[in-house]
Amino acid sequence: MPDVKMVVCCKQVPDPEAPPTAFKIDPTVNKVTLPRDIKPVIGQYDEFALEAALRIKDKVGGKITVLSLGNNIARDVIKKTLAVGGDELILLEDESFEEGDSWSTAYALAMAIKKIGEYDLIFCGRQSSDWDAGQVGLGIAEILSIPALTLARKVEIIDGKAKVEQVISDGYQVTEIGFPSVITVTSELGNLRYAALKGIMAAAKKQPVVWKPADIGLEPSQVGIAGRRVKLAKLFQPAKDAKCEIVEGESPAEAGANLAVKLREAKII
Amino acid sequence: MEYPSSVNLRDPVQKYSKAFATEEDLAIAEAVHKFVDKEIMPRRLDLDGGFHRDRNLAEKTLYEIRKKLVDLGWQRAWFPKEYGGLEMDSSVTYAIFTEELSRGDPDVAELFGTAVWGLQAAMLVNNETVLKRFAPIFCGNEVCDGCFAMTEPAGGCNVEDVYCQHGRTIQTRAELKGDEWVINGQKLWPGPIIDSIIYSTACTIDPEKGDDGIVIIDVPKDTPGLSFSKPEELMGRVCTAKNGSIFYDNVRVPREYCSGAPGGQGAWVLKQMVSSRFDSAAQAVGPAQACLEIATDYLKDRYIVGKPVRDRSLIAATIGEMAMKIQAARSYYLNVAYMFDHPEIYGDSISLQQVARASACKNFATEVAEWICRQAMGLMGSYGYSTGAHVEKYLRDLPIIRIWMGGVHGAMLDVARGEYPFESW
Ligand SMILES: Cc1cc2nc3c(=O)[nH]c(=O)nc-3n(C[C@H](O)[C@H](O)[C@H](O)COP(=O)(O)OP(=O)(O)OC[C@H]3O[C@@H](n4cnc5c(N)ncnc54)[C@H](O)[C@@H]3O)c2cc1C
Repeated sequence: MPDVKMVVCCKQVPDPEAPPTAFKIDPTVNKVTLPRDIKPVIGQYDEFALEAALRIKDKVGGKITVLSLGNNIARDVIKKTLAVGGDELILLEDESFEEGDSWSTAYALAMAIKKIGEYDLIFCGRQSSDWDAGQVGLGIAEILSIPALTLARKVEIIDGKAKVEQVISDGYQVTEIGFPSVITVTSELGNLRYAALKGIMAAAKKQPVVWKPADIGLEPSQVGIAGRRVKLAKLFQPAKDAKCEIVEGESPAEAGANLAVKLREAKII
Repeated sequence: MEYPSSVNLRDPVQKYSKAFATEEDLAIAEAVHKFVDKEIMPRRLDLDGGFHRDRNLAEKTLYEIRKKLVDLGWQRAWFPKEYGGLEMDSSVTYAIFTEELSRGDPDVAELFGTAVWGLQAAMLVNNETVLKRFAPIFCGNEVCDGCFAMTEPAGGCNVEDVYCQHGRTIQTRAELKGDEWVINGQKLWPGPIIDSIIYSTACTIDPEKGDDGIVIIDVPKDTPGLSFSKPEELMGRVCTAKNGSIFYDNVRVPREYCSGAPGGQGAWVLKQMVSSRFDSAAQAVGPAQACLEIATDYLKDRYIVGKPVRDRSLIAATIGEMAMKIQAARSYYLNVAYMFDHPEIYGDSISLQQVARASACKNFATEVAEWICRQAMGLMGSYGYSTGAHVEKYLRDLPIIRIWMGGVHGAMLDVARGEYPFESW
């Protein structure tokens, strides 16, 4: 089945490899504050999703449209999706998209995919690399009323269907899914390839298409913070308490015995 | 103001001035930067054969890294489209590519340069006979080497000093006999020898003729009469550089393998010299940047008397000076590369001014790069001197950049020539 039409949803997130101390939480407003110098990157799982689509394109041909929702999306970051082999880049970019939840994000992406019109497979990461909610992919499937498979580690196209290896707790299972459908991808699929020079040169000449909420038929009440269905009650850094006590003794054997007594007292053994 | 937690100037997009670099250049910088972090940094000691100096390990590592870069299109980048290349022609792009790759390993970067060098003369005059045979190999999927052979046992600087010597000191002789060139002589130091599939050789038909006597003849590897010494043992690039002697003993190649008739070739050698000098600057800045990063990171976690070492003002000032010199060297070569690409504004690419600019930025960058590496080592104490810290390899790999392409003094005289007429030395 040649020429599979694919949409890959990619989110821009703060680099998860930045030192954890850089991420600060302001509990008074329930927000994460980031120093400006943390470079945004494309979410790791979304990169795997893009790689899944690229492998299909390599094998049977197809068109990949990359879709990204957010505000202030860094062009040099997101255009990497074109440099590695994406054909088209659509940004849902507007200030009002800020502070949405999984539902408002899924809804906006689904509306954009409707506007794209033709699609066989929609790829998402298994979860985003910042909030880790893992709901957007399934949300899109629900809103578009199409089936979905999660945690794909391999996707192949056979006879007009996708054959998917899904990671399960003790191995993997093989499932088939027809078109159109949503597939969420996990790390076992493998890293996103490096951009080849030819791709970089081609990407530099392309510009993303930008859609505003109104372009995809969204009401202000459905967008970003206004469209949230989940209320964030409290955002805080869990305090970790660690105590260290050195158990001593005259000899190693005695120290061992003392340790055993302490553990018994603490009802650990 | 809050301190940023990650240092911005390491970001390839922040590093290069947009006055010179295009969006495409920045994307290239970013892509190569990432490749270096993932594919070279974890293996760079293996490029020296690891702790056991195992040449097989070094060759395997070098091949694997280069093969990945070939697959990504970097070997074919600078060759003409009709032979499968991507026909990139910006010197700024090439210099940025060189700095980023050299941050991982300068000799890996060098080998992409020498590959282009092997066919540069043929490309310049569009020698179809040579290009049809060899360019598709460089544009293919295999790692491939080329060599430009200029230096001779009797001297490198004088051969490369086209302004004063006009090729009169070249001793490798070429003679046209019927439909063939016959070459006799010896080159010393070019590389990579043995592996290269083509040896673009600077010869003279008659030293008395000066510039008009210089011919560049492309000699295929398997030509009878062509032979090589073993690679010389070197201070740096111990396992990756294969530089040594090339012997030409009645080597015969078809007449068409001369890339350009005698006359005008002196100008060509000079053009090579100019671009290679500012590229050398870029190749020196990469290791300097790496050493700055290594030292700055190490000193964050090295506590002395209760404080990270880099939080002492004396140390911070040294780090600042290292960064300052890197920024100056980088801006310098970007500036010169840009001027070279715009002869309509800044004068012919082989004019005295261009030679002076390129030579100045080479000498400046190579000098500060070595200084920066030594500072990194000093700041890190014995750990900096140990192989595992990487700084010592950079320090060994650097000095040749200062020496090649006409020597330290020759390049400095070329800088002076930009100021006033200076003929002899
Ligand atoms: C790893 C490596 C890679 C190399 N790659 C290549 C290559 O690909 N192709 C190639 O052809 N060569 C190559 N070379 C050779 C290199 O370019 C020469 O060694 C270099 O140009 C210096 O020449 P020389 O060693 O003969 O020094 P000499 O010419 O003997 O110079 C000795 C000293 O005299 C000074 N000097 C010489 N002439 C002048 C002058 N006119 N004015 C002022 N001072 C002067 C020099 O600065 C130096 O201090 C390579 C060498 C190495 C080690």
